[in-house]
Amino acid sequence: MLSSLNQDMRYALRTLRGSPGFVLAAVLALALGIGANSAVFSVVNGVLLTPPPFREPERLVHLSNDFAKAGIRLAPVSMPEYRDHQSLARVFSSVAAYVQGDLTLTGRDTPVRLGATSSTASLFSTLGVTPALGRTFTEAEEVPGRDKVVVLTQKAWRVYFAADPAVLGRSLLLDGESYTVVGVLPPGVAYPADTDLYRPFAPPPEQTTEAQRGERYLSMLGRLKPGVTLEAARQDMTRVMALMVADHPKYGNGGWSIQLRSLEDLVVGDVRGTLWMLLGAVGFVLLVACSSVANLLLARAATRSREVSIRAALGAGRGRLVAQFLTESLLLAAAGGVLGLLLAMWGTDALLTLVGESLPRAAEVKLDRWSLLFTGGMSLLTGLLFGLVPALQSSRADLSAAMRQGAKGTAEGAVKLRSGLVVAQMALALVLLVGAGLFAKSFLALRSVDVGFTPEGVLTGQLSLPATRYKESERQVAFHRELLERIQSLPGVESAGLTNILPLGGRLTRGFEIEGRTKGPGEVWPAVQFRTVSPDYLHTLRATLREGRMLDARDDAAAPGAAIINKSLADFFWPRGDAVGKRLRLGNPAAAWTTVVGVVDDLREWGVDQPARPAMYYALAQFPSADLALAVRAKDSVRASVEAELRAMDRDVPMFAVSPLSRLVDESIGSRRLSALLMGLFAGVSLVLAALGISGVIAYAVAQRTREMGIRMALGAEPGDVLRLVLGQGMRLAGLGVGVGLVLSLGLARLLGSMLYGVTAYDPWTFVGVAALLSGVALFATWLPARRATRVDPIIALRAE
Amino acid sequence: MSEPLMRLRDVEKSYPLAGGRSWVLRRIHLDIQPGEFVTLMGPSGAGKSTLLSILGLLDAEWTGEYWLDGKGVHSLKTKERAELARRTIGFVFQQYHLLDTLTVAENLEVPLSYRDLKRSEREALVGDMLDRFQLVGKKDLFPSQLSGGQQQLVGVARALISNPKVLLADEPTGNLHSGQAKQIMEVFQELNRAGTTVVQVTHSDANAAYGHRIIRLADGWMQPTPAP
Repeated sequence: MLSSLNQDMRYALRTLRGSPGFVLAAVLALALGIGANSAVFSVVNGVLLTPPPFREPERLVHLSNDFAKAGIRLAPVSMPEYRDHQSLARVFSSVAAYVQGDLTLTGRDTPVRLGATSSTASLFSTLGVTPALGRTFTEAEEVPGRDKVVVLTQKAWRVYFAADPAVLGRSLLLDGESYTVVGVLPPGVAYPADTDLYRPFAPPPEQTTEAQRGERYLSMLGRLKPGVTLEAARQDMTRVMALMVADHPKYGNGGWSIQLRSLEDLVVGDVRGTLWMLLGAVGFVLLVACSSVANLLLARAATRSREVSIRAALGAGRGRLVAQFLTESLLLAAAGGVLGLLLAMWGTDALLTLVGESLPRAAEVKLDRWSLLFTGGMSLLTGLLFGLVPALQSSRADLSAAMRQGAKGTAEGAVKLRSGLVVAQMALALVLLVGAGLFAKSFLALRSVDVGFTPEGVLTGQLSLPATRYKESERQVAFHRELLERIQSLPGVESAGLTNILPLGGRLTRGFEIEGRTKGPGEVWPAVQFRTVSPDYLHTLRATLREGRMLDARDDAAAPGAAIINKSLADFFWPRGDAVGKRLRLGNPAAAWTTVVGVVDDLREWGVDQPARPAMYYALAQFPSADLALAVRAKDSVRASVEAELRAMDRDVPMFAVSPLSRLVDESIGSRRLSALLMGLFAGVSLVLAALGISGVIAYAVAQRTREMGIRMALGAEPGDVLRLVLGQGMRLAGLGVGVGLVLSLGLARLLGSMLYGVTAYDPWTFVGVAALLSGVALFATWLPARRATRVDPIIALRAE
Repeated sequence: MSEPLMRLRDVEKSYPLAGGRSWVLRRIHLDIQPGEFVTLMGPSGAGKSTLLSILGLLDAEWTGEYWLDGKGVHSLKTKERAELARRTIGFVFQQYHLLDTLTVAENLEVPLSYRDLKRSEREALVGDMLDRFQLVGKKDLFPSQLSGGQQQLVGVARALISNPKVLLADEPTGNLHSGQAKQIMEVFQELNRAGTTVVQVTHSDANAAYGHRIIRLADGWMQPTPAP
């Protein structure tokens, strides 16, 4: 057994060495298929399949307040609500609350902005995480004054503290206050994402009173008791909501509900569909590659039927013959696998670069042992898949016939099989092309969305004023004013502005009332995005003013409140166009009225692919904030000079998350660009393989039919007749492939619906265009061998008999 | 005497060979009258089949002059030659050269499919030919289901279906046993009597006896015809 395997290997190597062209073609096709699959699998594995580093992560759920009628999803909870959930719910073994934020680490050469999550001490036990070094917080530290302790993530420990075990007990200056490091978490634990350190959530007592029930800013996580399903937990929360409505009737007419989502769903839910779809698509590429190699093997087997016959005549059983052929195909697959692995290493990096920040758990993506196992398994499977059929086919040769007349008997069966493979390749290529077409159209539709601002030429960055030194709003306002004056005087700068949240940056809704207007029973007002902006901010973004005026220097802290609203908000409440001059008041009845001084066209505040929502832009001087984003419109790169001005003003205020606004726009459609790009790539590869496949099969058929062509020409056929005959054969295969592919695509398109934008999954132009493209390519691929058929010399063809 | 159907003057064919040329046919002067039954004979390599190919316009690589049915083949363009061949020539091969994947009836239809004929006309011609050669009962059979003689009969029928002026046959009975050969030769004789010019290549004196005239070739040269 071993010796025959050894012999098969040696013979296979020698045979393959003799056909370098064939080996190159086969290994390249396989490497492309296996490499692309391994790269996409490593992403799927890291993001979807690798369990997060928490104990029994399937028991973790995220709680949020939803208000479906107003389009509010995943809204945070308030402190009183958190307390209610904690005491009333029966399904959780523990719950935790947290708020994401930033702190600036100073006292070193350059200040560093760190992602700081303020959490209840229960966050760690809820996640099921024990520290790698030191300890986590205690409940006793959830009190102002005792809360100056931090737990570092492993990554922050390594990056900022050189993995120094003596970090425990060390004092850090964060936003000007001293904190003591008490623990370091194990590798991979950073929830929510972008957290570098945790500190105790210790709100001052006035922020925990019942009056704060409407102030929702806490994210909430729960660990289900063992055996409790998500459905059971949802039912329990419905009961809790009913109790809360009984205690606080205002919930009743509002339409608020408590939503539970598994942690997994929350983190990767948005990309799950796309990733599985891409894995499916790249699987199709591998099938096309396998068909190509099987086709090559079948063509080769046809030329080897005499060899097979002689071997059989000398006593080789069918099993031995199959083993011999399979050894060759497995060797090819192994070579393809090794090359594919190299491609996958490069491809995984390329994928991560492509998706940028938009992929959750991107840090988990690596070519680990599972990816290697996947690649190995894939190579073995493909070796069997494309090798077995040709091996069986070749080993079935009719001995005497093959010895007598060469490959003819085998050839007919092989041609049918090869034709079948070509039809399959065509069909799969069409499915991928339809997908690529739909995603490309979708992406183009997104690119042409009017986002309401001009991102090109705008540099953005985040800044955060340390709470210790910029506590008073006057100091914040003074800092903002001086910063903007300095930046605006820089050479090349056209204008600059500040905002609490940049466009596409997410949600911040505030409740409000309108002077002289009361909400009727059951009436639902839309959730309104709240932005606070400096006078030149909207001008810097080149937002379009529709009515009234922009904010300006007049709207300072001493002036009456002024705000701009967007068109969606104006149209909802004042469809007759009389919004300017109306007065609004945010949440608190004690707050002052603010006058609408202008209306701007909608800016996409949630995302390019999210419809514009009602939004209001308040004057920053009247609603100052310590955490802001800067937007600078300039002709040249001004990053260095902006940072220099900032340093000159306060060396402890770093600018972080610096990025051109156009990149933020690109990243907001990053996963769609990835889908379009990858599907395009997959479809392109499949198209080339399918074209080579049909060309190969037709060339082979032409070679087999040389005699027939000769006879036909002797009987009066002109080159045009022969050309039509061969093209007809090719186009019948292509037509069949296109037909099968269209049926498959119609079946699969349904799955793409939710991933598309501005194009339906059954877009007829895409289907027709793709079918025409594939047919055109097939026609060209067939025309090449067909042209050769017209050059058959009838005398030579007839003599060849 | 009427104008010859085929007239060859100084027709030569050769291949370049290191240091010179290899001659296949030398200075062929030949007239074949309408209604003649001519036999080309000679040892292997004498050039018989090559001459037949040139006569049948399958081979265009030669020098000299050749008039077929009044047209100077030597000065015709490829397309015109093909058109002339379709109108005047019918070919019968030693190997029959039927298309394996087509039935008898479909094989007969092949030459018609390259002519501008309606489907109904094609079907009628095929029907006539099946009838004439008593192949009606075999029209749906594939070549592999026929005997050699039957296959060659189909080959002859196919050659005749477009009503050519001359039937060229290259060793038409080479693969047949004597009984079948006799049957085919009688068909040729009958066709010739009905007016079709026949040119055959054969090694068989018995077959040659069906014709009017024998042209002998050796090493590409036409041998002088012995006085009658």
